[in-house]
Amino acid sequence: MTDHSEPVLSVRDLRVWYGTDRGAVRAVDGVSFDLHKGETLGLVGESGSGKSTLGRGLLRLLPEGAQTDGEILFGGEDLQTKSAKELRTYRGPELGMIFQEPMTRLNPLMRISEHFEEAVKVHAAGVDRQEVKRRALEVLRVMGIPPTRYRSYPHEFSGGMRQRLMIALALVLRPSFVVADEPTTALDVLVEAQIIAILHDLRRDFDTSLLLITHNLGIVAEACDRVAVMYAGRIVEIGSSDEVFRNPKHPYTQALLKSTISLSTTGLHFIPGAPPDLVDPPSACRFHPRCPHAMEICADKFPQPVSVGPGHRVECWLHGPEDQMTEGDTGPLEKKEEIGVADEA
Amino acid sequence: MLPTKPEVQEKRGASDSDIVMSLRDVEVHYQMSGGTLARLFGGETGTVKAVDGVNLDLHKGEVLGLVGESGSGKTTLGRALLGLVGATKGTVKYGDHELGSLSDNKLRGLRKDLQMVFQDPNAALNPSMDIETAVGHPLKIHGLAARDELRQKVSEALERVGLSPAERFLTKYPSDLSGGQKQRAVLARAIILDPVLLVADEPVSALDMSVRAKILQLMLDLKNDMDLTYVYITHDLATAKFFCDRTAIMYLGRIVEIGPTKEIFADPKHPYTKSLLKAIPELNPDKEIPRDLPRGEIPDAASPPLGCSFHPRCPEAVAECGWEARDLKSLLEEHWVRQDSSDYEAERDLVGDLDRLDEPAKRATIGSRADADKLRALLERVRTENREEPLWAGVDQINETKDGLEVVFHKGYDPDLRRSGGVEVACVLHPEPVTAEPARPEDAANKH
Amino acid sequence: MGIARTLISPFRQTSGLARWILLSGLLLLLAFVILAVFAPWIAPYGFAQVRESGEMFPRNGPPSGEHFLGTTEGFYDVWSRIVWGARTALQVVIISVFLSVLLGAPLGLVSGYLGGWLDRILVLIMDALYAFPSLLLAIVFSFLLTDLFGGGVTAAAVALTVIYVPQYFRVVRNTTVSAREATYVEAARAIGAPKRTIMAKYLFNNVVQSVPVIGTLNAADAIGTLAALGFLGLGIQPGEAAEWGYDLQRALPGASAGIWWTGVFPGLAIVLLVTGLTLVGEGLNETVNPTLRKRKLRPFTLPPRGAAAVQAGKGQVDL
Repeated sequence: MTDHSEPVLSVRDLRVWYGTDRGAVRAVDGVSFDLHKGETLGLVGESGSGKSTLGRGLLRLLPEGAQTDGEILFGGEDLQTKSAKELRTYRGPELGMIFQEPMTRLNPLMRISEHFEEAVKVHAAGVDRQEVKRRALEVLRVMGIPPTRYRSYPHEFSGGMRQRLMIALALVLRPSFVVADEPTTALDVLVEAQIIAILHDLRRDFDTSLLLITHNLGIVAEACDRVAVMYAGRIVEIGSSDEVFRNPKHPYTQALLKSTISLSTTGLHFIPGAPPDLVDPPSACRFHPRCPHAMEICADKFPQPVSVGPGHRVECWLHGPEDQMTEGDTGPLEKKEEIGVADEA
Repeated sequence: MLPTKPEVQEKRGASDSDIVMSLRDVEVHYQMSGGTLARLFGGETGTVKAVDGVNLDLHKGEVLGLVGESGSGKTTLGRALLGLVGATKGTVKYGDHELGSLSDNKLRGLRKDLQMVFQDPNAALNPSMDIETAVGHPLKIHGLAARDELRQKVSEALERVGLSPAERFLTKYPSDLSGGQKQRAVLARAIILDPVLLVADEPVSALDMSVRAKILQLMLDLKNDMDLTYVYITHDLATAKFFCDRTAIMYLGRIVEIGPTKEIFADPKHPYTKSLLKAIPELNPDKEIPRDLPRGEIPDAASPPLGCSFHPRCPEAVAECGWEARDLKSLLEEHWVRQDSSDYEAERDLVGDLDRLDEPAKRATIGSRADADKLRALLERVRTENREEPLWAGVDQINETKDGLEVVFHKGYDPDLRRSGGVEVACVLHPEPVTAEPARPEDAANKH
Repeated sequence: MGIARTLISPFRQTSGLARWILLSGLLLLLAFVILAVFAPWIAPYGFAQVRESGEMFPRNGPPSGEHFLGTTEGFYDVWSRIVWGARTALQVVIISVFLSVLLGAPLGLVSGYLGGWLDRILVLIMDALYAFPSLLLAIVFSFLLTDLFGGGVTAAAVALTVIYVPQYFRVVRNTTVSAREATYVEAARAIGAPKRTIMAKYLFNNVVQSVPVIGTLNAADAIGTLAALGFLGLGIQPGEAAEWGYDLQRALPGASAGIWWTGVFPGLAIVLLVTGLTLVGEGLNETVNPTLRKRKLRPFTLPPRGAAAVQAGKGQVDL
């Protein structure tokens, strides 16, 4: 499934920190991954894991006072070096974003047709109204929105229809990379399934690479080719969905999968403790205070990315590399602080 | 005397005495205020039927799940159970008290027994009240404890929900706590009065996956320790399956299927329940994205579909489900999604004013008389596009009239809950397809 | 307690310009408060004193060693009039703001929470009061109230109260109407809290947050209105207390004759006090109003990647 040609997007060692009144939040702290043409990568993690900041950071939509380094190579160009003006020419025809709350992104006083005209005109000045309409109706059709609604206002649409509209607007210029940030969280189960099917088909319909940010592991399992698991600003495990769901390697991924309540759940499992404070994260491996398999080295040295299968990478000392560990490193972590009940989330 | 089956009698006896709460024909209708102009000129204002005829008995110690999408009325029903929302019709009985007939003061007295947990823990606590005051407030309001005793009880409640040591939390404000901790504080406030019934409205939906299990476990522990009865309101079937003894599936203000959770999940009967189960994303990468799901979204409760409310989306619908004009409009729009634009323009002109199809009506007229043949051909094209489409089964006649081409729909029925196996289902197909006159034919006048 | 949190929060939450605005406003205000509180010690003479040890003060005397801001045509010492005037101004403002908050906020709370006919009637009355030009209203009420309370501080303060009550009412009522739907209010109903408890314990703290801002801005406005009343010869009568507006009016005829000190100094006092109050109000607004508030961010620099830090990727493994 993974295509080994030049990736559409190649992220290297990306850091995005932003300031708060308590100090810098290390929301994204050294993330690397590739995204290939037409591929859907699911980015999962709990709230506060940095997944949303990463998604926005890739499009350089950053909060005020944020600082970044590392590389975001898109079509051979590093987006990190682009000016705000240059970036604007990318957004739309090259990069797209789909948000959780469609209504906050649609202007209630503008007809759908006007939204499309505006989106197209910014980037293709010469296009006339008929051409905009033709392009818009084509996208809307793929989204399942009838052409009779082209002149309607946003409030005349239901929640699911609005999200379809947002997707259509993001795709009308056929960008090659789209970030969808929790696009179905505000929707009901049945509508969610409809939208997920649409997103899943983007590859077929638009040849778009998609980064799907969600907290719902089920959606990733069904709709994504690959999955990246994020914990405390780091991608701790990345691999094909098949591999990661069948054979999770990182203790956090394992715990997360186990704690998820699904139709086949017969008992409750949970991860002790709470996600760390990203202003002052734990030393070395960020998961070690909550990890059932923590070793001496985990509190001492940053884990290295290790390949545990084709395209399957994990950052955990349990999987090596052994040449960087000494005898004493692998003993169970002694001075692990007790997690009090009060610290439970 | 006729011999009765002993087990039935036993069950009846038990179920009568252990009923905590019983609802009969409960309706909660909201008057819509309409636009400014409508109000000024006394124009027509509609009614939203948030809860539309619900019968329910809650048994001591059970966990009843109210499951549905947003707009299904589950939240309103939960509030009606507590008397936070008054039923516009029907009775909500707690013991000997009929909530609707109680004065404000009497109702407040009952709050000791009837408690609630909310979806968003961030919003459920007063931001300018510390945890000690917030959790102890129910005791203070009902004059059950003061000073040292109050603090003692608050500490106990906090410890009980896992906020321990309690001293660490007494002086904290909600903004100092994490989401899970806030939900624990909300639970502490709810149990401090030692209630009988706890209505939990999506208590874990706003929480992270790894926290959900902790809160659910806590709720289970509390239930066992304190002999609580739960009403668990949720849109999440997975937690309902795990958590509930009995499940009621709601759609547009009605219960469409109710029964023991095991039976509902093992053998769902209502097409809506089946669709919900199919739609849940599973952790299994082998499972494909479901494609045969109901189209569209939950309709407007101010003007529900005729017949069975679910029929416009139902993959199993039959002729008797209540087909009507608005369904034809949806079908045409769906057809146009597939057309290319020139064909669409031509057909759109042919059909003419679509607003004619916006009213709930058993007869739908399209186009003009002159185009009758073309219109017939169009309908035929739409029909051949998808022969499975259930709407066609509900079309009785297609006539030419002076206004255009008229489509006459089959008589439909609005199904009541009927026993089918171990559960009760409101569907014309269960327990056996409706053929003869059923109890409640659809009533166009009543429905809008 | 919540109150303490609220009081220090403006300082914790502001930064840069907003904090300077707040601070300079507070300093100006503090200066006037000191004048007002310690007036008997600061002012060399009484506000209505025209002679000392049997000797009359000069009429329209220019600034000198004896009267360092000069004297007025009524033989008063200008500096003393300013100091005592500060006391009058602050007294009137404090009483009127206190009274209007005391009336307006609870009425707004009750009206907003209970709704119904009570709400409609109150809104109608308050809107009618609000629609009047405030100076006109103040004039009418000070006429009426002078009979009742005499021409002193109380009458002026009550007249001003009438102007400002509607503002507190409107703001508190509107916030209450939206806060009424909040989950924590429903939660309060669910635990059996009676209406007055809900209003007092759950709504009050959350809806009065904008009151301090309106309070200070109204205070600034009230200084102006009070001076205007005094200028028109209404409000506080000259025998009752020193009042800057009255002094300004008395200074008018002399202005063309080069007697500038009798007008400039009271005028300056008005301007400075109004400025101080406005600055405080604006500064507070920045912290209370979330649309204006800028979060204070601690500056930082991305640390270089140390050996212990991250060396992810870089060709070691297949990404």
